[in-house]
Amino acid sequence: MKTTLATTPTGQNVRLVEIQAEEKLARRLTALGITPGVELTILQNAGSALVLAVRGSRIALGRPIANDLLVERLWFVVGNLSPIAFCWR
Amino acid sequence: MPMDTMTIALAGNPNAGKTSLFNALTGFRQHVGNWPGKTVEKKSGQVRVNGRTLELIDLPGTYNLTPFSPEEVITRSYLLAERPDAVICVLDAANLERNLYLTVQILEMGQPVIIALNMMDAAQARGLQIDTQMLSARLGVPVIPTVASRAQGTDGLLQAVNRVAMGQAFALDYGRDLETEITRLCQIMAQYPAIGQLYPARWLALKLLEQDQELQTALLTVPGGPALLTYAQLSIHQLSQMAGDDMDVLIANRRYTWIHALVQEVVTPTRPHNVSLSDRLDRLVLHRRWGIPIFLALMWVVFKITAESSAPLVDWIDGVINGPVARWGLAGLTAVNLQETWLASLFVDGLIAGVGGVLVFIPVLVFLYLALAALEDSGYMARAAFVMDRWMSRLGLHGKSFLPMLVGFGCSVPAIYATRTLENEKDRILTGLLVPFMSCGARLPVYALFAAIFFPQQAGLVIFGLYLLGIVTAVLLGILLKHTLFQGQEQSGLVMELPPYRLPSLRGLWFHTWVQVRAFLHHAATLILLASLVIWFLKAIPAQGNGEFADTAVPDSLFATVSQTLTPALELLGFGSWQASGALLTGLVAKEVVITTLAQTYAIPDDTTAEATPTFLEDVLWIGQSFVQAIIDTLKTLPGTLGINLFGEESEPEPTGLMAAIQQEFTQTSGGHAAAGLAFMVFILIYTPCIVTISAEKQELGTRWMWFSIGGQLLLAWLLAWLVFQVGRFLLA
Repeated sequence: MKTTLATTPTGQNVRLVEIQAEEKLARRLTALGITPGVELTILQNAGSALVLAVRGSRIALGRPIANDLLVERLWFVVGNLSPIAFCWR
Repeated sequence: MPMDTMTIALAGNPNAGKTSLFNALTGFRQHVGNWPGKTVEKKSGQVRVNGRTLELIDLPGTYNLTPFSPEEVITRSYLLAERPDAVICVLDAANLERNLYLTVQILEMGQPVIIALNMMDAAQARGLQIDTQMLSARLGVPVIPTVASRAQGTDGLLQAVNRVAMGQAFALDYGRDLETEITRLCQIMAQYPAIGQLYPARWLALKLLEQDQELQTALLTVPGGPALLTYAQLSIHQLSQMAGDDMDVLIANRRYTWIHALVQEVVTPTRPHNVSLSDRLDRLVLHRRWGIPIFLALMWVVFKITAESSAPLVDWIDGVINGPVARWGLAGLTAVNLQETWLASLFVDGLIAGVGGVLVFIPVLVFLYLALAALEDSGYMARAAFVMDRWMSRLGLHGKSFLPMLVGFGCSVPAIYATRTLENEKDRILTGLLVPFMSCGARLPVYALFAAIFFPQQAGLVIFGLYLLGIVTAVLLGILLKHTLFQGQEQSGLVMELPPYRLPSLRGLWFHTWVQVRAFLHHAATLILLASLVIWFLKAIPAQGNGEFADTAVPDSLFATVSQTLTPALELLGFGSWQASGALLTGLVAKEVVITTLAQTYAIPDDTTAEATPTFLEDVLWIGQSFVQAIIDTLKTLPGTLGINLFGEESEPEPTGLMAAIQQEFTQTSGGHAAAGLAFMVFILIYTPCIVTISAEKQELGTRWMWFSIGGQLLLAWLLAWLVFQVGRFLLA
């Protein structure tokens, strides 16, 4: 199922399918390791920006940018998140 | 090969500890300037190793080498044009994959690289075992583990400079489709030696496939360049038919795939990956409900520390400069028989009042920079930007723009410089234009004086209201500019790394603070010195009456005459006197000068005349004693920053004579309305902060925006002050 990163809930693991942003922004994202095919974990999705875990870094992305990222959800449990994560939401 | 001097560049991602490493390598022997034609800071320093001088250049922190941001362009053109003898790539060992992306590109440029595998302690704490020999073998360069914050591994790094190999051939496998086109382009380049002299072949081939506009333009004027560009277009066409993706995204993807495989080989996690402490903290700090209260609480602490803890030290410096230093200077002048000449007046009224008035603010800056450095080094700054993104996006800005505004409450100058952390030029300019409306520390004394004169019952409320008015003005102006001058410009969203939380090292904090304070001193001292002298000369030159040079009543001076010309413009605001306009005029130098000017023009005698002159020894003793007392007082304020008041309030003695004089003057000019005092404070809040800010604006935003800013602030200050006076006249009547 393809959705945008912006609509992905906290704690979800996704694979990046496509970057639909303009060239300059796309290059900034790819330099940070946000490349098609990479697996991301949404650590926070609330308010005007999101926090991702990607390739060992934590990246904050504005919601408009997250709208430009097409992802598919990966449905398996990840050791990266404890139940506490869901309490905090 | 023995060389007397070697040039060594430091490159790396932001947050990889590059600056700490640079500081650890060079110590305080560093020179801070700007890259030619850019507003990006250039730091260089020298180290002597084995009888050889190493010239270290700190390149800006970047993630990539595209032509889109000034930092990346600087790094790239420096490496291409200057060809340093070695490039130290600083990598965060705990985040190797992302950090290697830049290193690999620098290797592709054929640069002689040494890898500083920094933050090894953090990697170990995370249970990461890194095979440095394997990494070194796979990349073909020396790899030295370091912990820059504790200056570990720096010697090994400098020794490794000897082992650096020139022009080694590094090539990673981009996959058959891309490699075919890269090889083809390299073959074409081989026919044109002019290109080969300028650029490394394989790197250029990749950049052309990425459709790098800067290189495309540059190649047009190189023999063989246009032909190469045509072939590159063909290659891109071929590849996009097969691979489909955007070429630059495809290349980045392949590069990361290669790096990912390398990291799998080199890094062994010794224990299963758990949720890190940093992530757990973030769940609280970035929480949508708790994030803002936590942020506000931290800001409260920062402001309390900056304003209250520095106050005793401010008083101490004030006392030292106006007491012993002034006396010693005068004694020196007396010794050479100049005590009654205009030179003595220049010294006391020009130098001491002008330059001394600025030196007094050093403790405020030290505390502010310490607090901000602690927020920065701990990793909280990036979180603050995240939390504030929601509010800033309404102004057409994003969270990162909030950081300069925050700094602006301390001082507009570093705040304007802080705008350079923003990637987008529009963001930089808009933020730089709004920063001066954040009421800086220097404006506070003026509010305090005027609030005490005109609104003694509600002084605190009035001052708080002024701070709020500044914020509201910035918000409204931001919205206005977003829909007018900056209309249609892309709204760049937030893209920001959140570095892991770290405990700041005292060494690092002090270094940051010291570098900033030194820069401020250098910048301010030159300008303030000049401005103080100009004002003194204006006051010394008689324009009417029968005074002589340096012996003329202030109302007869050229200063009063010049100020008088501005008076008609201020009449509608309720303070149309030459004293008020003169104070505002000198306020352009620095806001604290406003009070100095008023005190001098109303010629209120200081109450220091009655004291017996202490001896030199007494002076020195007093300086020492009062310093200790100031430190004790500062320590006493610290519990207060957490909201605990253990020691009770101390009230400052009020300069009653000056207050009465100002009140009398304003009553005359406004027809007896307190609103004039309020209008004056509003004018102080909005109009051009100071000459140092102006010069920072010129440096960061360019001359055009500097004038726009000055003009806009003056116009807005006049309009708002007019509104406040005219409306307030009826409401407060």
